[in-house]
Amino acid sequence: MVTTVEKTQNRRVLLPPPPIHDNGWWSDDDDPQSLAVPSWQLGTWLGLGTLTVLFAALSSAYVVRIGGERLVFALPPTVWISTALIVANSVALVCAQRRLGRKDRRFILWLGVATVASLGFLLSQLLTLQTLASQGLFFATNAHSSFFYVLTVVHAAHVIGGMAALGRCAYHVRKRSAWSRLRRALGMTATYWHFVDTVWLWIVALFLWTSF
Amino acid sequence: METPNIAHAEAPVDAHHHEPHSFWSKYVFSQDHKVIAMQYMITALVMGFIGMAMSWIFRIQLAWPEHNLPFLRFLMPTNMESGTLQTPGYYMLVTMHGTIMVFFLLTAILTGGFGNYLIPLQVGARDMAFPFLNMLSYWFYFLSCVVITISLFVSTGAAAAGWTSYPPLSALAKATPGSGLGQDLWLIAIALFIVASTMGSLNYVTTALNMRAKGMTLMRMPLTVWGIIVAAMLGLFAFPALFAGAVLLLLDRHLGTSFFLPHLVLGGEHIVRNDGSPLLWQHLFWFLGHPEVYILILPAMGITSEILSNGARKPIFGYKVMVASIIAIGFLSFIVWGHHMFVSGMNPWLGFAFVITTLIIAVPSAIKTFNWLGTLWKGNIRFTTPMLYAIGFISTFVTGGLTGLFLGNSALDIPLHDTYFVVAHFHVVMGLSSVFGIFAGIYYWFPKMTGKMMSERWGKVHFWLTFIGSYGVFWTMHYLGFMGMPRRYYSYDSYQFLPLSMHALQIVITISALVVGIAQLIFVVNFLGSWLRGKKAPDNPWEATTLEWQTSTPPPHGNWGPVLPVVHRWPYDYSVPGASADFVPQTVPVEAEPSGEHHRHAVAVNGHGHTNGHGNGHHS
Repeated sequence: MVTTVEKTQNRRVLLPPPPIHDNGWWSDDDDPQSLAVPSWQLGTWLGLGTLTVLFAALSSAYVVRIGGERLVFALPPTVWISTALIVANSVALVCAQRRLGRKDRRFILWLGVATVASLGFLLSQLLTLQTLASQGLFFATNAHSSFFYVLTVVHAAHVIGGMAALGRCAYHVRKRSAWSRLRRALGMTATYWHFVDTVWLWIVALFLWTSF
Repeated sequence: METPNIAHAEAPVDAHHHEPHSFWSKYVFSQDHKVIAMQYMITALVMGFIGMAMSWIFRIQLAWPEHNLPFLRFLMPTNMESGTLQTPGYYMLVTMHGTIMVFFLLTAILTGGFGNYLIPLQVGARDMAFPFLNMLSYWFYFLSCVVITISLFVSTGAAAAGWTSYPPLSALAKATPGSGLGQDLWLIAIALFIVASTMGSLNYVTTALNMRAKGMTLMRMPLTVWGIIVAAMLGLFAFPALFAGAVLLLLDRHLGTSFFLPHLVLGGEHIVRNDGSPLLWQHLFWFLGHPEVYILILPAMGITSEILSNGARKPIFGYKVMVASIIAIGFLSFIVWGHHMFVSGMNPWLGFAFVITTLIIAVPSAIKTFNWLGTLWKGNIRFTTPMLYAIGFISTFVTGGLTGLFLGNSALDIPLHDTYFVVAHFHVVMGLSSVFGIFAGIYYWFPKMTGKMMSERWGKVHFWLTFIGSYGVFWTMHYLGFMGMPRRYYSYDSYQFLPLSMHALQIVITISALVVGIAQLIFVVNFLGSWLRGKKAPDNPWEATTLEWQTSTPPPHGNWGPVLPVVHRWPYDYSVPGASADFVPQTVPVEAEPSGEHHRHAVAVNGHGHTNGHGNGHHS
C-alpha cells in the first residue's frame, strides 16, 4: 500500500524549496487546506462573535428588565465627548493601517493618536459616571443606572484590553519586527478596536432609544 | 471556500528542534495538544468521580431516609454530624453533582479532552492554531476546578440552589446555608470555566477550519471533528449569556442591585429591592443551558458515528446528511431554551413557538438515528468494547429522545415538570448518552494516546454492568415521575399521595446506582492497569481509516514526523468493493485503491452497476 510519506517525498523532489519563515515550525504553510482568511483573523472574528453575544445578552437583559419604562435620567454631555473620541480612535487606526500598508513610518503617529483617543475615552467615561453619581445615581439606584454602570464598566474593560493590544503593536515597533508581523498585529488590533467602538455606539443608541 | 494553496504542503520542519525537554514544559505547562488533551481528560475524570460519589450519598439518603451511616462522617464532616445526611447537605450534594457532571466532567472531557486530542490528529495538523491559548484554556479550567472543589470545604457549605442556581434562592446569602460563600465560589468557578471553554473553542474551530492537511476538504472531515466544532461554536455563542448572568447575579448579591431580585420578605425581614425579575435569570441561564446539552451530545454523536462505521466495517450511512443534521441541531439548539420554562409563566403563544422549535429538533435527531441503524444494517460487526458503547449510545439516545417528545410538548410538560420523569429524561438523553460516547471514545483512542491496549474482557464487564445498571436507575425513575413524585425533595415520607411501593423503587434505583459505581471502579483499574502493564498497541489496532491511525503510536511531538499527510479520500472507506483490505486509509491515493467516496468510483472499479445510480453510493 502506498503511504503518504512515500507519496509526498516523491513530490518534494519536483517542487521548488519552500520559502523560509520567521515563525519556524508553526508556519502558516502548514495549513494548505484552509479558508481564505488566515487563522489569526478567523480566531479574532470568532472571539468577537463571543463578545457580541455577551453584549447582546446584557443589552437584551436591560430591555427585558425595564419592560418599556423610559430612561429616568438624562445622559450626561460627556457621553458625546466619549463618542467623538472613540470614533476618532477608529479613524486613527484606519489611517495607521493605510500608512503601514504603504510602508510609511508615519503610521506610528496614528498609533499615538489612537492611544491618546482611547485614554481620553476612559477619562471621559469616568467623568460621565462621576456626573451620574453627583446626581445621586449609583450602581443600585434603579434598573437604568444599574445597567448603565454594568454596560459602561464591562465595555471599559474591553477598552483596556484594546489598549493592551496597542501596547503589543508598540512593542513590535520598538523591537523592529518584520513588516508582515507588524501588519498582522495592527490588523488584529484594528479589527478588535472597531468592534469595541461599535459596541459603544450600540450602547449609546440603546440608551437614546430608552430615552424616548 | 478553500484556497488551493498547495505549493508549500511539505514545508520541512525540524520537530526535534522545538520539542520541549524540561519536565515543566513537557508535562505541566505544555503547549502540545496531546498533552493538554490528557490533562483535560484526567482532570475531568477525577471531577467526574467526585460528582458520582456525591450521587451515591444522596441516593442512599433517598432509599433509606435519614439512615445512620457513620462511615460517611469522614467524607462530609459538616453535614453529617450524626452520621445522617442533613437537609442542607443533601441540597449541596444534588447541586454540586449536577454542576460537576455537566460542566466539569462532560463539557470538559468532550471538548477539552477529545477536541484537543482528535482535531489536529484527524485533520492532519501539527497542533492547534493557537497553542499558547490552548495551554491557558486548560489552566483556567484547572483553576475553575480548584475553586469549585474549595467551595465544598467552606463553613456554610457549597452552593445548594440547584445546578440552575435560580434566584432569589441563589441571590440572597441568608436564604439557605449554601447561598453564602459557596454560591459566590460557584459563580466564580463557572465564570472561569466559561473563559477556559471560550479559549479552547476558538482553537478547535480555527484549527479544524484552517489547519487541515492537503486534500482534507470540509466534506472529508471525520464526523467526530464536525460534532466537536459545532459543539465548540455553540459554546462560543451560548456561554457568554451565562457569563453575563453570573456577573449580574454577583452584583445582586454584593452591590445591592436588583437585576433578578424583586422586593421580598425573607424570614419576616423585608428585603427592599427594585422590581428585579427572577425570570430574567432563567432566560439567561437557559440560553446557555439548552445549547449546553448539545455541546455534550454532538461530540458524543461524532464519536459514535466514527466507531460505528469502524466496528460495522461499513461506510457511515448518509455522511452529508449526518453533517447537515449536526449543523441543523446546532442551529436549532439556540431557539428552544423556553421549553425549560413552560411553568415559569410565559405567554402561551410563546410557549407554542418553543414547542414547535423543540419538536423540529426531533427531525435531524431521527435522521441521525436512522443513519446509525443504516450503518449497522448487514454490517460485519466487530463487538469490541468501543463498539458496544457506541451501540449503547444509540440505545440511550433513542430512549431519552422519545421521552423528550413528551416533555417538549407544553401540555404534557406541565404535569410532568419537576418530577422524576424529567430527571430520568435528561439523565438518559444527555448524561448517559454522553457518558457512553465518552467511554466509547476512551476505549477506542486509548491505544493511540498511551501506546497500550485496554483489557477487552474487563471493558466488556464494565460495559454490561454500566448499561444494565444505568437502565436500572433511570428506567425506574420514569415510573416515579408518572406517579407525580417531585424531584429535589430530601425525604418523601410525609406525602400521602405517593404509594408505599414507591420506596421499593427508590431502593432499586439506589442499588442500581451503586452497581454502576462499582463498574466505574473496574474501569479505573482497567485504565490505570492497562496504561502501566497493558499489551503494546500497534499503530492501527482497529484497522481504521482516519489520519490519527496512520501515524505512529503514540504520535510524536508535531504528530507526523517531517512530512505532513496528504488526504486522498473521505474517512469512511470501509469494505470498498475491489479494495485489497476492508479498510482504505485516507492517505491512500485513489489510483492505488478504489474509493467509495463518490458513487462513480466504486462503480468504475467494480465494473458492474449493481447500485442503481441514485443511492448514496455506500456499498456494504
